[in-house]
Amino acid sequence: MVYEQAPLPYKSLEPHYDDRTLDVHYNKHHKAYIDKVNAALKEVGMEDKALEYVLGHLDEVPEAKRQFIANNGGGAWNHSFFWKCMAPESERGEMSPELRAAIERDFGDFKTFMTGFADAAATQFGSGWAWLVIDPATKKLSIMKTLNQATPINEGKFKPLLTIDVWEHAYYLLHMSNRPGWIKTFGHNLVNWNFVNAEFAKFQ
Amino acid sequence: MVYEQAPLPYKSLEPHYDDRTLDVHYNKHHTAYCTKVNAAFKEVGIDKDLEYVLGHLDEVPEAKRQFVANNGGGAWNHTFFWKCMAPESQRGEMSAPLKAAIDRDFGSFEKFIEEFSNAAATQFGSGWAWLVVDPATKKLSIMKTLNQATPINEGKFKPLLTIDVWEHAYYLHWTSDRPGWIKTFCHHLANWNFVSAEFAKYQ
Repeated sequence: MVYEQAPLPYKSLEPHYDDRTLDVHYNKHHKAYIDKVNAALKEVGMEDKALEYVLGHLDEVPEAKRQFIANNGGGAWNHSFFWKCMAPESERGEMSPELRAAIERDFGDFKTFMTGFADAAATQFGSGWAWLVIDPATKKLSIMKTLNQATPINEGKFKPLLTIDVWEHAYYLLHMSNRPGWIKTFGHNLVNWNFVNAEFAKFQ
Repeated sequence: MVYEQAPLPYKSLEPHYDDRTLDVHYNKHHTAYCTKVNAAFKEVGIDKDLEYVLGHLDEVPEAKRQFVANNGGGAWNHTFFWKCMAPESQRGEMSAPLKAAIDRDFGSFEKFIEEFSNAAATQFGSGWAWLVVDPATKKLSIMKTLNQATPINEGKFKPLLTIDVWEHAYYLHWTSDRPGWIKTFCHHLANWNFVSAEFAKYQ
């Protein structure tokens, strides 16, 4: 099946995410990943498998094309998830009581969680992502960081609940070298708690 | 010894490299790497020069090794990178001996540029592409490194030319168009005087 690039869930995230970056990020970076992975999956005869399946079973991809599909498939999937992790400020909602309770159980309190998440995002050297994930077997929450377009679903165990893109293209036009500034804005003004709550609820 | 961030060899590289990026790139990114590696050296009591440390990372305490590799690599790579560029009229041309080696090892200048550009374009994520020489054989080759890894980590290959393909190196001007940055670098920025002089060291 061809992996579709779903439309953005919003027209704008101004003033917290600039329109120019949103445009290039979605229409150039994300789109390129999608075009490339679709072409590659067709080339290796795996276009009938869901992208999420392929990313969790990369050993089934012919070795010559495996890293290319990991990179571009990861890019396609990660960005689709990322857009849903953000919302216009007034539409973001709040953490559900269930999620809040789990956050407090596994991190101590909301502030400690945010510090841990921000720290992972700040210290992912080079390009990558930071994640809030859940282990469905134990229901435990934890924080991960991944390099380039690696994603928690590669391992198959952890399920993503929230992600932040810390490739420089995600924030450079507005924040330049100030990655901590981007992370702070994301944490305080962009995170779509409605979405995170709904993802969390799937594993309860 | 404290690693000094040498001043930029030029005031501007306009119009081929925008002043705003040059400013942030040098004064924020490069300065931060230099500051961090110096602090790390002090913390673990390293008194050796940066180039030595980057070629002998196993001598750095394990707890600090990746930090030193990342920030020391960033410090060194950027210092080398600034020298790999010059205002257009000051770049010079490849020396005759370098041109002969390029023709011998790549077939032609165009093929070398194509291979160098391809390495730069395909270094996934952040990193660098390099023209290097193996001093033992004098053979030229192209490498690409991830993040702030550098040919001097291995100790064998000596860098002659590098291009920074971290997005911070080109995003303000080119946004997603990394190939556009690479083309501009090769055709309008590469400092052949410097590359020729580095090459001469190994002849």
